[in-house]
Amino acid sequence: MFNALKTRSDALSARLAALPERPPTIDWAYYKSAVAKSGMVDEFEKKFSALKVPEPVDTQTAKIDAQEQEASKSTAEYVQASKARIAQYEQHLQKLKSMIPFEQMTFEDLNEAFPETKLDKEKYPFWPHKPIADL
Amino acid sequence: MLSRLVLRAAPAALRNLAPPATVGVLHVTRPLHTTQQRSAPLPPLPEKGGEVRHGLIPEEFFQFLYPKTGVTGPYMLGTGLLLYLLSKEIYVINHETVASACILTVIIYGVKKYGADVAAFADKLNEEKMAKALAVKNEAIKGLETAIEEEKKEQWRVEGRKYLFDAKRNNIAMLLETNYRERLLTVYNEVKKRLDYQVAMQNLKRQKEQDHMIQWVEKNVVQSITPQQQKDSIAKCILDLKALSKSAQAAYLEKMGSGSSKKAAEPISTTVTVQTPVQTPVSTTVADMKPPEVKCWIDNHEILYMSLAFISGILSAVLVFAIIHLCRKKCRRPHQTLQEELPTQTVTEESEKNTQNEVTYTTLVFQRSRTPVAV
Repeated sequence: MFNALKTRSDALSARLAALPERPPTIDWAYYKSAVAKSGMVDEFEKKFSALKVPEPVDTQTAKIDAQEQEASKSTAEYVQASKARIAQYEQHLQKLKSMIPFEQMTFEDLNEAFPETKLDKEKYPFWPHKPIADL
Repeated sequence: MLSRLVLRAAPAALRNLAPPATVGVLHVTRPLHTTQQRSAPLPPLPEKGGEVRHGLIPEEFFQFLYPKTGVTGPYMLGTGLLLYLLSKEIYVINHETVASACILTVIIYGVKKYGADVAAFADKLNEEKMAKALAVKNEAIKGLETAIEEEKKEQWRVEGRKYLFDAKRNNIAMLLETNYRERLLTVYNEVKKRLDYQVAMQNLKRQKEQDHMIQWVEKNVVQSITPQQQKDSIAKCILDLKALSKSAQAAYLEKMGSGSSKKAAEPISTTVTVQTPVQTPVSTTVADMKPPEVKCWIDNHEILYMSLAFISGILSAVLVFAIIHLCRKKCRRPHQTLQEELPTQTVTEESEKNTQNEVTYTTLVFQRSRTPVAV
């Protein structure tokens, strides 16, 4: 996604750099001396200097601003979610760090610390209380 | 472990009982064991069991008797007890005693010898389990920490969205600028094209006029040349060419004078063309090539020596064969005279002599056959 934007902007900047800032000026004196038709060159010169090229109108900046607003909203939501996740992780981390060492644990303690180690005696009433494949 | 269970069960049980704070006369305002929290972390289990002497009797017994009876007290007690049991036949010695003695000996020997190893093995198994659990826990901790880091990084990254939109705005500005420049350029190009067209048209017209005029002038001039003028001009050309050819011949002679001496001084034709002097040097150079070739073949030393050696070899071979032939002739004559002079001798002598002669003959032949040495 970002690469597409990058390529596009690079292409644009290349195009911009390729064009000269101002077109070269026309040598009116030479043409006045060279062209036999009188008045033609003068007429051209007058019209040329009078001509004003309009600058293109900018229509898209408003859209981009709108996009920016949207983006900031979504980022705020994302940041909120991220913070919640961080809080969860921190909690879990604290639990793990404050655990008693394994050497002093009983199986009950282990089941409290890691609930997934608890053997399900209702589902598998007979020893080893878990499917044979899990041994 | 039982102590632990008790410790665990006690608060639960007491909680269930939970006597009310004020019951009649008892002004017990302090609640008993009604805290919901668990007790502090349970004390860890002791590493080793209680000290035992001789594998049977706990150390506490010895310590109990020490103040009264000293070090030897328990042992005296034990010996006395044993003797009492044996003498009063409270413990009867029978076959089972012997069997138990043997079994116990074996057991004690086994335990004493291999006990430590077995204990170490069991400890190792336990250690492995612990290590696995510990590894799991450590990995979980690490994973959580990295997750927290990643989340923080993502939050930081999100703050950089401003740059994206700035880039987009930049893009727009660039597009506008490019468009404007393109427009200016097209205007300029169009105007220039039109002006250049006018100039080019004018130039073309002028050139055409010039060419036409030149052609017309040339045609008129050619027409105006009279026949008399033509003859005069041709004669002048011939004279000029003769002068040129004389100067060219002189130059050529000087060049060829320093070449080979075999060249014959051929008379140079007086034709206008200069081609024939060029042909003669080519033929002389071809003649020069042939004589050196003949000399080269005889001068070749190697061929000379080879041929000499070949001829000498043939001559020597002929000489040797001649000598052999002469020797053969000589030996045949004495062989014949011997046979004529002794016809009366006995057969054996003859046969002997013949055999001897044959032997000498064969030896001579062998000798002779050996003589032609290879050249």
